[in-house]
Amino acid sequence: MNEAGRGRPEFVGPSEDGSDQSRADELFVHGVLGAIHERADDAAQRRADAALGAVAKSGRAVPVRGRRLRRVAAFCAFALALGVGSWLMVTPATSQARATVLASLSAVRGAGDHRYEIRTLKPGESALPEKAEGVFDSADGRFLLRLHAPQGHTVLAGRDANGEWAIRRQGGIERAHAREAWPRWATADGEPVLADSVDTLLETLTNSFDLSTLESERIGDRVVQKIGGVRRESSTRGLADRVAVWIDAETKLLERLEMDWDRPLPPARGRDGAGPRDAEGGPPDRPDREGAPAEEFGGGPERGGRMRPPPPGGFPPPEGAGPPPPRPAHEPGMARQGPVMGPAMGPPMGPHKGGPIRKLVIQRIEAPEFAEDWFNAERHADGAWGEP
Amino acid sequence: MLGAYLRSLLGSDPAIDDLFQEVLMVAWRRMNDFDRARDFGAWLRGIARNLAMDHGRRRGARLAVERREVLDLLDARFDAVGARFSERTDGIVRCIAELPGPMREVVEMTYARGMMLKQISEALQVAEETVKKRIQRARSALAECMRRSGVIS
Repeated sequence: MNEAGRGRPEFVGPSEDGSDQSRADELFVHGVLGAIHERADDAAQRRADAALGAVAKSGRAVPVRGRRLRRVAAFCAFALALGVGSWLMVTPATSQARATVLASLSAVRGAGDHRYEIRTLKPGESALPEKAEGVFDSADGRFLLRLHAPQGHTVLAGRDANGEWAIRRQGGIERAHAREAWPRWATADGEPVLADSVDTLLETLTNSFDLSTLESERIGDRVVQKIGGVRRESSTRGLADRVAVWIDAETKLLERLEMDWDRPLPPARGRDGAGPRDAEGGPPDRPDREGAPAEEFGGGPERGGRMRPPPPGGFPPPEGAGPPPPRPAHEPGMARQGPVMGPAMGPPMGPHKGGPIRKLVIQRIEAPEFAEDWFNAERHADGAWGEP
Repeated sequence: MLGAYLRSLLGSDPAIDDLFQEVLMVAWRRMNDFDRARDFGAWLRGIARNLAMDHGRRRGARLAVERREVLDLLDARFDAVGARFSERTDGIVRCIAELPGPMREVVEMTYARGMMLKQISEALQVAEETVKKRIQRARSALAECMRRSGVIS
């Protein structure tokens, strides 16, 4: 640590009077001076700690105790990170995929405004709607979900500085049972699929799905990393059977997420009147709770109907989201009955009712500048769709 | 050299260490994409540049480099020094030693001792604006000295 107790010299910007070259030179010298004067042990320790943290995030860290041992371990981790070319070749794909998703999680949780459009494919439908059914905004731990409910009203729910909230259909702010405002498809087996935020959804991926890194794709000048996942048998039933996420390789931001409920189901069993999916543990009907606004919000579409595969050639791109990533590849062991199949290759339906939705797609679009009160419940108390 | 580059881009942003690590992690993941015919340092700096710009966008932070033209010139400086940076630190130290006393003083206080502008201002009994100007002039003089002595081309 330096004399002033700071880790870095205070930055003085380059002179505004100079040319571009002189500004570049000043910045170059600033970087060089900082690098050669920074005490090596401080810098190494900080970077080693960061390296250890990053490796721990990717699931490879071994807990160590003691400062000296930790330093050694950290140094090893750092050295590993520096010369990782060969190691990369033997790193399990799923670990890389998990690390990528975790990096995206970190990015989404980071400061900044994010907006995602939500579309769903319901039983009996063959293509995603062109117009988004919902919009999810988030910034600094606050979020706002706006959905066009099938019944025609608007579902408004979010989290502000005072916690989660939802707007009652007949008006008023509900905080005690805010999650009851969510449509049925937003929960699975009692667990929220989308109820917290996109970051929770990402976290769920790393915990509940076997992830694998698929090929990277280039969209314009951006490289997008594609991750596929299959729900673990041990995971909560009712979660999607398959997921695919597209993560910007540079920004780590989640660009697109697709969840598919299309796993072939076992023969019927379970409670009377329930299809096998229900018996298997699929999303149950939401229990009514006194005072809860669940039915006021209408929930999601009724279950039932047979699932249909999407059209050959995939779904139309969402509006305003730029070119969408290509659809996930149909990989052995991943897409059991993927949406890339044509109608003639449709999933083996079986006598099940199907889930409340067939597919959920979340697509990042450019976020507008959110007003300071955009996430506050009071701002949306009138139940209107509104704009930032 | 990567650390120096990040400092040049980000000034004294506390996220420099995180980004340093992030660059390595991205490089690790994308090692297969690296063309061995290219300069590895330049490739790392390309990643660092993108991450730093994204960091600036996400955090609403201003980068030390505000214009692309300046950024390109800065990249050219680092490209020219390249992997031989460590061989040239003696030349940089000599240039610091050759600075006029008041400039050398503020460089040492700022970069070696990590003093705040206010502290330097009080220690030297000059206005903070004067300290800023001296730092800027000292850096320009150092760049000129490095050019003269062949540390940078």
